[in-house]
Amino acid sequence: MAQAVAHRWGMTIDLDLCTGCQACVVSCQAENNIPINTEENFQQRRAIEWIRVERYWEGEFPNVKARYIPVPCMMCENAPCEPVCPVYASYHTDQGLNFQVYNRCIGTRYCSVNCHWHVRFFNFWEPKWPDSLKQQLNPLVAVRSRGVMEKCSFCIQRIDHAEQSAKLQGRDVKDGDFTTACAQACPTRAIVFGDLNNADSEVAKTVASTKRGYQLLADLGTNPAVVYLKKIDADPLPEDSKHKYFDSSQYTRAKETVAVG
Amino acid sequence: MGRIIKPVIVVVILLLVLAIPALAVVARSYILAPVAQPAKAQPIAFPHSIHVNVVGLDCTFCHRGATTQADSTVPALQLCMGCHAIIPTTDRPQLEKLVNAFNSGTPINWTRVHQLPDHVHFVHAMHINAGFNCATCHGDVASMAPGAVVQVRDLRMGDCITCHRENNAPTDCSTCHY
Amino acid sequence: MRRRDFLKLVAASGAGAVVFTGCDLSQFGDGDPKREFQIQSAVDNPQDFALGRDLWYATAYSGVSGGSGLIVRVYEGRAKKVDGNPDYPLNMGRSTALEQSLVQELYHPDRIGGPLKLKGDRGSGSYSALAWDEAQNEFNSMITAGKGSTLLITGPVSGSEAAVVDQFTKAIGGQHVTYEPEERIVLREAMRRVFGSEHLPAFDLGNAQFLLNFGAEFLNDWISPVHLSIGYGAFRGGAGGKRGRYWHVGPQLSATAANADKWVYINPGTEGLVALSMAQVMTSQGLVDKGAASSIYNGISLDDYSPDKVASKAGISADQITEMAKTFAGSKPAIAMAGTSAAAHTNGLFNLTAVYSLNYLVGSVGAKGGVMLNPDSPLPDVLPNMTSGTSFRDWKPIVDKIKSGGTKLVLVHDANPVYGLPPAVGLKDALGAGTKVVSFSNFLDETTTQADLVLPTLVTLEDWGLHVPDPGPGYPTIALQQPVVKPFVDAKSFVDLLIGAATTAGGSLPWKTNEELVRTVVGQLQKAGGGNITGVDDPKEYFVTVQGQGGWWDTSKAAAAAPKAPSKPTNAAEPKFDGNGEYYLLPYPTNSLSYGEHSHLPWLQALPEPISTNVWSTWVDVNTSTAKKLGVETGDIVKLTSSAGSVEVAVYMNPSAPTDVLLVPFGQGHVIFSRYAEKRGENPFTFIAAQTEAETGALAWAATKVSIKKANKKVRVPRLEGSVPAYQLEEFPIIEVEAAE
Repeated sequence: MAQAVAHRWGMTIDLDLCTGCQACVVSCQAENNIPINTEENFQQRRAIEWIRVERYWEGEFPNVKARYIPVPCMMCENAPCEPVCPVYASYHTDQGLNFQVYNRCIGTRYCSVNCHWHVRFFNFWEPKWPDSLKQQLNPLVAVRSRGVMEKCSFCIQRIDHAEQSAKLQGRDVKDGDFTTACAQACPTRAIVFGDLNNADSEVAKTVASTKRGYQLLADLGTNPAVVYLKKIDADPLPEDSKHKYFDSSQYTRAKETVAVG
Repeated sequence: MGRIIKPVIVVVILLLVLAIPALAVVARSYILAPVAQPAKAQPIAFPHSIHVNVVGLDCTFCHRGATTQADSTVPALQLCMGCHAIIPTTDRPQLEKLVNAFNSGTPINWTRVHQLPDHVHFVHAMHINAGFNCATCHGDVASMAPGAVVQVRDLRMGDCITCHRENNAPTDCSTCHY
Repeated sequence: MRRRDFLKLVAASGAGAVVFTGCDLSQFGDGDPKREFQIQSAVDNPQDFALGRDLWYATAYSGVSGGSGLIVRVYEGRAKKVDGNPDYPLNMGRSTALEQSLVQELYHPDRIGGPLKLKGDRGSGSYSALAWDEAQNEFNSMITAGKGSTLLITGPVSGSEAAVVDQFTKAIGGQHVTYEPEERIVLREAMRRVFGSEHLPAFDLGNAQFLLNFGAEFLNDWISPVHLSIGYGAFRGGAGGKRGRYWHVGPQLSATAANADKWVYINPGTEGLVALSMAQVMTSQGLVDKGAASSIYNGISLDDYSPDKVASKAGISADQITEMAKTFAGSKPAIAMAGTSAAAHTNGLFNLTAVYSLNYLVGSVGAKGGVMLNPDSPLPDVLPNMTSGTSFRDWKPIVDKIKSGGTKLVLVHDANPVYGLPPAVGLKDALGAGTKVVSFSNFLDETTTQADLVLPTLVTLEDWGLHVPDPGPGYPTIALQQPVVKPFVDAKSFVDLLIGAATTAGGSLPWKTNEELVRTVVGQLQKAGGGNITGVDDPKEYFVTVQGQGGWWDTSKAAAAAPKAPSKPTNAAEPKFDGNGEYYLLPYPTNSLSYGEHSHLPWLQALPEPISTNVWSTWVDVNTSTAKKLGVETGDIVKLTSSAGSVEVAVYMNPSAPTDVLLVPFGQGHVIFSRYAEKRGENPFTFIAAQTEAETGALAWAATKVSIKKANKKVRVPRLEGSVPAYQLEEFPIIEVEAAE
């Protein structure tokens, strides 16, 4: 079982506020030195997006709705990706984060197979940037080389920096000292990041008070640190068209979601 | 006789081949270790000894970032010239290089002595504020010959972890690697 | 080779490897820069340059809502990350994908490194490098020769840049035209007609209870995406008492429409008719004051637009119109909004005026939770507001004048009209005819390759400026742009170049440089009083404070803009479509590439279009059942033919696409525009019919009908969808949603 941790970093994503604008996606790519996803990357289904915005269909024209759901790493408390790593590159930090040690990784990709949320990405190629674009790379984040798995780190460089600054000032990290790149960019404040163990933090308050909260694939029992708030459907589609699917295999099918609390 | 030599040679060769990994490990630990490297050539033979022992400067007088941030930083030439503007350069070729560089606006590219890999994030401030002296890792820089600063401590992961364990510092991977 | 020799060789090479590696490595430490890591001692150490530490600077970008406030993370002189400025009223710390990508514009590999002079033929893209003093001499001689007949084409400008443009055009006796998305021209005219306002409005979404949106992409690339998204967050979060309800009316389930509680499909171009019909229901059922309606819809007999008369034209039922009208009138405060494709029809102005007039009926103009009008600039002389762009119809005489030699010099900055105007205008041929053309672009694009001289200019993060955002937040606001890094290439400030040119032409400008202009005007703002900075007397300190805050704004002057009753009524009209095809062609700007201005930034190219999740390409969204009827599926190439031309694009089967509407995204089809954009996809501007909006003359880009034919080719459409295998458990529906709390 997971040990008690000082901070349990977590995130709430309010799907009622998410507009699918994807500012979070670019913000994450800028912060974390994610290689440019070329057309070929997408065609080979090897694009790297630590946070991605998935779109799901409900119904068909004219009774149709599209839903957005941003998916970062869930930072499971009992993560399925961890026990399968033969070299302990995917492991649980003292902070309760599910973390990838790049310099340990030997690229077996077992972790990616075992991740039900598909938020682990493999570097099939050496990441390349034209020389001028290298000026933009964030010096606080290592560039992952070929053959290494990578994933959302909850902006560990920001966590570390905030904790160190707080320590130098002789205090503990406060809510609002820092946030992740995706949460910082989000125009509607759909993504909120904070310490779930701190009862005064915004995320903890939201998780405690909301009636719409659920975790993605919660029945697997991994206890993700990302809590979604359901979208409110004020004008639902007519019952007969609501659960209509496409049988075409081309469409992304939905993951099931289970409410908690 | 000849019938014995043949297998012996084969066995010896095999042993030599098998020893390669072991040799590599030995080489990495001793011949190729950071502390085994000779002093690196520097554009100016900077004498730490004079600045520390004669003038009495503290390390952080020049390496200003050490107490507050990740990098200890090397000073800008402007800081050097704060004193050196009034120190004569006659017969001091090293000093002349500094003054010329400043006057012509050319930055000086020092050769790095301590270089950690990109995936290691070391923060000076945390260590200095935990009460460590610069010399704990960098040795007695003041007694090193001008322009010949060498690495005196291994500063590879084993070294880091040992020290972290001794001092009850975090040994979680994410402390340094991200 | 015998076995023994082989073994010997292996042994020798194995041992050799260790020995030689040792030798190689022993060379480390000799200080050879090729083999050693370097650490640099800078010469000077200014206070705002810290080694080994990041610094955040506030600046502004004129490309989003005319002036958005940013903070930029700078590490040892290199810009690393752009975020929204938390102090600035339009951003409040938030940002868009485009703003995030500004660092890629700065460090773009194909950015022009210095002045260029045309070497080969026009359009060939063959240029030779030039030194700045030579280039400037050449430029000055062109200015002298072109005096009295110069045309300056820019993107939307406001504030200090607009002031210099004004001075320049006066000095040289030339003409200034602005290139902006055509639907904005219609929107600006609608604001003039309905609200008597020269500026785009702000919407107090946070306090509204109901939003009825006719096609405006307000959460993506429309007039002020960040500010409206922040408002939308408050609207949904229940800032106005309870969670606001949003209905979207229009021909497309767009990236914005997907957020609506309800999407009501109507036929393209019938937005105005539906709005009139709603007004008819509201007045006839006594939901609103009838007297007010007659003065608002002055000259229009509303009874001709009862739901049963409009329903079949709009493609919806009369009941739906009645329901919309009742909900709109019954959930105050309510906002009616229209834009994007609603404006891009032959009756675009009528569509917008009819919709925005609904706000008067429910008392939402200038009221809490309604449409807030924006005041004039606090210093209109030195910081002019943004003005309307040049409509498609007005481009024609301009182009004719270039063609006939009446214009001797054409200057282009921050605009790519050769790409963004239909070829029918003939701008490319006109520019190629021999008139001197100077481009101030940073990239070789379609317009720049027609230039004789290319003078690259500083990009957002390198230059000074004061911008008046349009739309503002409802009170006077100025954004201050300052350089956060030194120029990355050998470029000069556009404003500096223009001040120089104006001086050459005999003008006398009160400022010598862009920076001086910004400093002077901030001084004038201080003298004018008010604003966010109080208690600072020293002008130097005042300027630094404005720099730190990222701008100047005065929340106390919010109520200064009083709405006026609609002046000139717009004739009710039905949309007209060009072509005999059986499908409506509806091009749409996407959240990342918009109208193609930013296609050169790889992050934006790789950003999935939210609905289709497609990237890096042009496709046509075809309804699933239509696709079955046509015998095509995702990836099949089809040929779309309009009266203006034909084009081959890949199909994307989209279950939300209307059965008789084909949706094609804008943004691609650049002939030349950096390695990331050129020769990629198709440009919708090349095959839409040259229809104009009846009154404003703006290009009606949604008024084309096309036919579709299967071409027997197939490609893989690059997209995010399907990257992640997901498994459906049949007993669970797609995302479970529950009724409003």
